[in-house]
Amino acid sequence: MSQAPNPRDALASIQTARDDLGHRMSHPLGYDLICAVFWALLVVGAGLQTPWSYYVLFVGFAGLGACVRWWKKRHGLSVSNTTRGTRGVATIMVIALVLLMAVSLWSKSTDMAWIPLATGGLAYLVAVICGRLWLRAFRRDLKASV
Amino acid sequence: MTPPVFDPVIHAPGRLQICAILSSVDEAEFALLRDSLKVSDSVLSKHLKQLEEAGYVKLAKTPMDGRSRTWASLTPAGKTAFAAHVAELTRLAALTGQGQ
Repeated sequence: MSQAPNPRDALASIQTARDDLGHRMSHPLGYDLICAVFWALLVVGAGLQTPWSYYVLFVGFAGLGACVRWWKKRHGLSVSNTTRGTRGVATIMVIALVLLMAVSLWSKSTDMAWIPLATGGLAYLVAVICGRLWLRAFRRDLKASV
Repeated sequence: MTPPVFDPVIHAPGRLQICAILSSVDEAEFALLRDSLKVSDSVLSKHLKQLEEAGYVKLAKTPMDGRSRTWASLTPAGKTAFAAHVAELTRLAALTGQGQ
């Protein structure tokens, strides 16, 4: 059995374990590009008339569920904004998406049918950028954690 | 701020690394922990059992692809104990540094 490490070695081993975790946590850009489609569908769906809004929202939620399952299976990890940086990125993303959904909803009361498509496009960009930023923030926070 | 407390259950090298990983995530799969620590299934099981008995780790089996997989997560008591242990290690390391 290995000996108990001295404090410095122990802290170093904690950092090594977290660095290793950060290296394992990489997903292809394609993952963010695909997941962003489902986030965009939630924003677009909010601005559509029923029953289309139900169909689109259903596909959006189902797709995001599939993304989460794929990620969990690939990494063997479940992470929900456990670090300060990831919480910040997630908060910014949620605020942006909720605002865009609100604009989509508001567009229902107008005759500007293009608005949900525009907000959906913006939501797609927000989701892709935040997806990449989230991964960077998670790795950076792991490095700075000890 | 967590008061520094040395925890002999956590301090063993394997368990320290398990806690380091679990403190950064919600839950981690058995295979990921085994590969990260580079230990056998039986050694990891032993470490997890000790942490579970101390009330620091919760183990759950969930079916995935027709197989049962074990997921581990830190309990609130485990998070507190690990934070206190890291605080104590940091304090001790600083003392050692001053003595050099």
